[in-house]
Amino acid sequence: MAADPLREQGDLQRAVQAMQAAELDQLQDLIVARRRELAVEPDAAGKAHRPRRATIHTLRGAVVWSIVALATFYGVDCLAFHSGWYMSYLEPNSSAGQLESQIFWLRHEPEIQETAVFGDSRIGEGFSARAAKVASGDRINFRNMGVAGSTARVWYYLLRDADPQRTRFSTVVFALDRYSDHDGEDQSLRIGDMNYVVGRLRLTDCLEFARSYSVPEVQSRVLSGCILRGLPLRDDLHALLEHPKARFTAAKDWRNHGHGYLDGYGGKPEDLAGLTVDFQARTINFPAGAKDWQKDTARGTLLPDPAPQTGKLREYRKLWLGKIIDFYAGTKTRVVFLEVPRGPLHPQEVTEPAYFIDSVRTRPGVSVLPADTFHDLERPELFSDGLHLNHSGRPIFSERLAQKLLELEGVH
Amino acid sequence: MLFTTFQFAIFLAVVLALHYALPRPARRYLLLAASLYFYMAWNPKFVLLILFLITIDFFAAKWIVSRQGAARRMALLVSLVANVGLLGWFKYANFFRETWLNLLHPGVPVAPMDIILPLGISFHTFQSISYVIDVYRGEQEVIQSYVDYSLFVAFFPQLVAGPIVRAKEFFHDYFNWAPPTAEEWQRGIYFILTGFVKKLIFADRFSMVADAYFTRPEAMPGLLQAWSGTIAFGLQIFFDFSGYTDIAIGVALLFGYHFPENFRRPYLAATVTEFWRRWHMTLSSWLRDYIYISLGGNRRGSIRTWANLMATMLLGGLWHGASWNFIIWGGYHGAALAVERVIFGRGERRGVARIPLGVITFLVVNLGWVFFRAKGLPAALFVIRQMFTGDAGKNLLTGSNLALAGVALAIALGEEYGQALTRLANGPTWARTVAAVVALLALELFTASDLAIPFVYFQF
Repeated sequence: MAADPLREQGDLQRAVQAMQAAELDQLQDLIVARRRELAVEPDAAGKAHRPRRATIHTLRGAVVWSIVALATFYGVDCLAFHSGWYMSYLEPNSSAGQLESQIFWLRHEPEIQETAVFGDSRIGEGFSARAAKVASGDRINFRNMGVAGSTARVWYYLLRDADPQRTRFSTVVFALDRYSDHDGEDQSLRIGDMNYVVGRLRLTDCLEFARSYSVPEVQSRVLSGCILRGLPLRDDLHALLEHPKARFTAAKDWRNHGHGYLDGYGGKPEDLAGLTVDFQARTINFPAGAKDWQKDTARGTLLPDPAPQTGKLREYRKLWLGKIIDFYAGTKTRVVFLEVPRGPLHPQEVTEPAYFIDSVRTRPGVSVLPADTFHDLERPELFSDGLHLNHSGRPIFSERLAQKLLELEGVH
Repeated sequence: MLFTTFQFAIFLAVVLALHYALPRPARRYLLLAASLYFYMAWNPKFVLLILFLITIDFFAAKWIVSRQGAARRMALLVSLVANVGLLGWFKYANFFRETWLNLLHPGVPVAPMDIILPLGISFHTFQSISYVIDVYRGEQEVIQSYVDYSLFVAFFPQLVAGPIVRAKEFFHDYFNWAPPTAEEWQRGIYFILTGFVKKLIFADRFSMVADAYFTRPEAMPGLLQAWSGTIAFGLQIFFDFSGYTDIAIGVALLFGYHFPENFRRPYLAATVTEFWRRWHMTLSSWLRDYIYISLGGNRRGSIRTWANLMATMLLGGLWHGASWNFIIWGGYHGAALAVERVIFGRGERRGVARIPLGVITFLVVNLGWVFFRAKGLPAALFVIRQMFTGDAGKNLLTGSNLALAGVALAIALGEEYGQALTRLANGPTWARTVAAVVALLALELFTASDLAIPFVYFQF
């Protein structure tokens, strides 16, 4: 290395300054720094030489090393999270856990022709597959595919893996909270959907899935989560690490018995009998003893805050429910839409446009139950809170759904 | 553009690829354009401010070497006035105005002027000032190319939060540039990953505790709350800032530039003096070289030395922010340094005595962080009162936070006494590969928040 006069002059001046200031530590730092810079290493022959500077070839090696390190990392990640091993130990009540349980049961139970009912917690709470089967005179085997908090995007990925041959289900029923395309929450922005379908997304889905979100920041988070499943599963992993034994036991129990538990579930005993609402004055009178969770859901359902009408729900349904209809196009599986009982009370009917439903009701293989099929169930005594049917409403809804499906099949 | 965002990852990959694909003469233009773009991603108009200062300082330095006597001094003065003046306007105008008006009209609220603090102004102005002063002192050769000088000031890895790189250090690499060796490249990646781990796993987790406490300390009265909330902030700011520095050093290494070390396990210091030799070392050495020594250092007797220490640290405090809290924080450290000089002299503490002294220093430093973090003087005084007179209360650093602090201490001790990390960084390729994979998995699985939490030092 050639001497650098400028540098040496500067160092000298600093050294003098340091000595003048009697800053011995400063002087020491300077000496150490210069020694490091001029560091010499003895070679095999004992001769000192300076480290060789790199060439572009060594840089290429370094880039290759970076790629190998990344590939190794991704390999470990895939072994843990893409192999299915981790997915079998998810927290059963988690978003992904609910979805994975459904897939597990479908894959491990005898394959019979079934009618699958998809929806959110309103179906989970309000529909009994067992009661519906009885009501159909054992003509139809029902499967409750309700997953709390899920929407059409989640249903599509669940369905795609639940029925890969498109022969498992004779009918797939989709329970919409309402037919109207009236905008409320923008469902297309629900980043939480990632947490449901993390185990169902394939690498080839990642771009399309990310593009279904309209905000770039969300898109990049979703894309990262699709490629690196550990990201959306982070909280689940932390919970597992806190109580590993309890998790493994709970996950195993749920896998083996969870479907039976759900099938035997009778619904919540609470009701809202005595609830009154003045929709004009926007006031609610709750029955004595109503709990906070009942009041909160009731307020949200009965007196929702006005939302700007942007047409986003219509577009969202067109995309994801459209994909579901296309998935079964040309197969024997019938796609049925229904509007769930909307709440314990409902204001006087106002006809709101239902563009999506109107656009698909004439498509082959698609049936749309009349919007008012279940409106008479919108009574406080049949609801446990503002959203969900209770143990009294659940059998009525289930039996009626069975009857309506029999009617669709021409059986009376 | 935060280092911890996807956007920056793409930016870095593109700039790196172009840097090594372009012929060597074109690289400086690429790096300058990329650096200006990096800055403009935050606020495009403030790039004009940087370019203005670059222009002033570039020509001032040229003027200094080509003139004699008063003209040289005038050129230096113009540069200093431009840098300090703009820094003062953007950073301190509201503070001084409010202080002045409060003196004139006590009790009358003062509406602040609408001044946006340009990102990184404290860092790039100090870097520029050091260049001009070094040229004036004859310690630095004047840079003839405007593009070269612009790149020195605006080089994106250090532009917004340091480390404060001296011209001598930067141009040594710049004029003797060679591509990084495979080992340097791996060290660069190692630094980047270490920085991410420090920021995303450690700092962001401690920030949750610190923010929860300092947002409303009066809602959490108690001695343990005050100490644990403050220590959480002490850990946050260390991991946050040293993490940023590590990323900056690593990114620069990938381009073939060697940035100076900025942190050397400061919380293992046995004295406050030693703390400042380990904490934000590029700022400490800047303050030492351009303020403390300029004021006379310790050559003019004990009282003058203490006064110089105090003045240097007060300015250091003010550099961090325009508020009385930062001035008090600086004064507190200045006083601590002066007291240590009286008690210990300048000798290093060695042996077992380092343990109790280290604990005391850690607590002293953390006590100072109260002024740094609290919103306003009354809040800081409330926290200090709680630290000494509050009821026992509850420790906020529990569970995973405590475990993380333990892991950090073990790693720091391992490095301090066994050079564990250095050995790993200099170890065989397979060991570095395993370390990189473990770091990546840790980042994937243990990042504290999905949100990109800004670095603390961005506000300075």
